[in-house]
Amino acid sequence: MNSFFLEMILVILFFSVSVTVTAQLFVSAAARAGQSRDLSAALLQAQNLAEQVRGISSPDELPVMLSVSSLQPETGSSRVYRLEYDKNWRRTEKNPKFTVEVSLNKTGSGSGTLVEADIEVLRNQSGSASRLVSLHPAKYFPGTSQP
Amino acid sequence: MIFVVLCLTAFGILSYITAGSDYRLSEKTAQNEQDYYDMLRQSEKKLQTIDAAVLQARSDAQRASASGSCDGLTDGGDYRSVPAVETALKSSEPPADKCRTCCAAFLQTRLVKQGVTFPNPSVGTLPVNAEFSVAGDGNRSMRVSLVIDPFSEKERCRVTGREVIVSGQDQESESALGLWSGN
Repeated sequence: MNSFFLEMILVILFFSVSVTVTAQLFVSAAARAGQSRDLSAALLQAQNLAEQVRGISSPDELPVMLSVSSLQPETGSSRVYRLEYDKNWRRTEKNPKFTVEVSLNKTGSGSGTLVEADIEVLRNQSGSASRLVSLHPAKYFPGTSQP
Repeated sequence: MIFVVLCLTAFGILSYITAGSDYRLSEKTAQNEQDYYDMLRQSEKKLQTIDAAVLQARSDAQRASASGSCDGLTDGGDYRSVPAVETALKSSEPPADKCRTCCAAFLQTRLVKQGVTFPNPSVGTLPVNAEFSVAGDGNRSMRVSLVIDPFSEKERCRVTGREVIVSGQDQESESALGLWSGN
């Protein structure tokens, strides 16, 4: 009888060790899947903004998504806009999980104006922000000049 | 019990490998998109310099056709090396035609220095088809095709196509899609 109980204890011990290892595998896989999901969603948001920047029809026009954003204090010649989202990518103002920062910069020359945008998507975790995606679209608007 | 443990371990390993592969794919996709927009930004900056060269060529052509020579122009030496320019300036064509012929020649002279190529070179005719490439990260580059008409009131440099080229890939296998030019 004693040997039976001893064997059972050993079996349960072996089982608990292997379940611990297996559970770690599953948890790591879930964490990786979450990172991949965040990266894909961040890329989609950044692409939406990039295509809206490419779609503006004049250098002074603002992309639609930025019209509801908060404008940060101007730094140099560029204007910085901020959009904040919760974990489900819905606009929020409290405890955002993701932040999108867009910096618009216009460079004028004799021939026209070049509008450049720096789009960064950040994930806020444990009080620090890590960058997920950054895109840099630009669009050139030729000036009109009579031949 | 052993069978159950083996199954759980196998499924755990499979899940981990799948999640890792999915994450690497997402990273690759994000990197590709970043490269694409970086190349797009470089092409727009190049377009700005090309547009400035087009305006300069137009202005030089107007001065040359009015004065009948390339004297006094910044790149007069380069312009004179094109035989069609001297021929046009000395001909009895109307000034507007002289201006267009000179402008086409000046344009090609200026833009060749910036790395722009002309797939169908025909000196003296406008509009002109041109192409330029911008390099991206790794082995990718973007080829931009455009139509240049310095005397157009709408668009001096109209982009007609952008193509991402991966060096080593067979470029003849797919034809580029034309951009929708509106109504």
